[in-house]
Amino acid sequence: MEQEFLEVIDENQRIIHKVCKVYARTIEAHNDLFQEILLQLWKSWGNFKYHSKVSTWMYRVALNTAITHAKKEMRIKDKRQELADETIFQSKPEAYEQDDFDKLQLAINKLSKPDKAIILLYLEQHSYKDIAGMMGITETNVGAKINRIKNKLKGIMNG
Amino acid sequence: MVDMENLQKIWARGISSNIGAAVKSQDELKQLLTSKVKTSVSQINRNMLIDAIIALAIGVGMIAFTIYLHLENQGFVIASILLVIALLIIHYRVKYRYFNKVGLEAESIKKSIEKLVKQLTLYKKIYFWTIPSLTALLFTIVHILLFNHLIGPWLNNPEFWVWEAVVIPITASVFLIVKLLFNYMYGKQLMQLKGYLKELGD
Repeated sequence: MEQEFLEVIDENQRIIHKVCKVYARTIEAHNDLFQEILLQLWKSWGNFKYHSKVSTWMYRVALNTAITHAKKEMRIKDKRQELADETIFQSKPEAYEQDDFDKLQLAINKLSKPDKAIILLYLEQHSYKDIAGMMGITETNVGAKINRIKNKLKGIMNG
Repeated sequence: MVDMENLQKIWARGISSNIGAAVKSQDELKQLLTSKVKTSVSQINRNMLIDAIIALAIGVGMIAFTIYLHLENQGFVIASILLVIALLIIHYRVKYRYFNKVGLEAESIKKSIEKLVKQLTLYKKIYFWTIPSLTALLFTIVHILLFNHLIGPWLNNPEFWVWEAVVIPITASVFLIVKLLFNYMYGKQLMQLKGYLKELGD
C-alpha cells in the first residue's frame, strides 16, 4: 500500500509543490506545508480508492490542508511575510523589470486563502465545473469570483 | 502592464521552471513521510502526556488533601476524584483522536471548512459546559463530605447553603478561564474559518 501511495505521489508531486508555492512564502514554510500535505494525503489514502481522479483528490486534500492548517510556526512566518516580499524586491533592485510570473506570484500572495485556491485551480486550467466541485460552490459563483480575483490581481500587478 | 488575458500562460511558463528543483525522489518522499508520521504521533503523545500529568498532579494533590483532612468517607471522595481524573483523561484521548481524524479527502473545500467549524463549535460547547459543571460537582461533593465530618447533617443546615454559594463564583471563574483558554487555543482559527466560509458563500 505504501509503495503504491509513494508511486502516485511521485508521479503527481508537482500538484503539492504548486499548492505550496501559492500558500508558502519561504522555503522553510514550503517544506513544512509539503510535509503536512503529504501526511494528510497518506491519512486519506485508505479512503481514496480511485473514486475520483488522482489529481482531483490531491488538489482537494492539498488545498484543504493549506487552508485549514494553522500551525503556530506558520503564524510566525505570516508575520515575516511582508519582510519576505521586501527581500524578493531587494534582491532584485530593478523590481520594475521583474518578469510577469514574479509579479503574478507576489499578487497572489496578497489574496485570501480561499481566493488563492480558486485562482490556482483557474491558472491550472481546470474547468469552472471542476473548480465548483472542488470548492463546493456553484459554477456561477466560480465565474463571478474569478472575475473579481482577476480584477484584484490586475490592481496589484499593474497598480 | 501585465496582460490579464494571458495569466494562465504566464503561470504555466513560470511554475514549471520554478518548482523543478524542489521535486523529490521516491526515497526522499518516503523519508519525509516517515519522519512526519513519527513527529505527528510523538507530538500527540507528548501533548496527551502533558495533559494527563497535569490532571494526575491535580488529582493526587486533591487526594493528599483529603487524606490530610481525615474525612469519614475518604474512600468515596478519592473515588470521586479518580472518576473526574479518568473523565479528563478520556476527554483528552477523545479530543486528540477527534482532531486528528478530520477527513479531508472526500469533500469539497467548503464542506471541509463547514465540518471543521461544526466540530470546533461542538467542542467549544462541550468544553464550556463540562469543565465548569465537573468543578461545581466536585466542589459540592467535597463540601458535603467535609461538612458532614466537621459539623453534622448538611441538608437542612443554612450554614451549609451559605458556604455552598461559593460554588457560583468558583464555577464562573472556571468558566472564564476555560473560555480564555479555548479562545487562546482555537479562537483565532475558528474565526478565520468562519471568515473563509462567509467568503465562499453563494
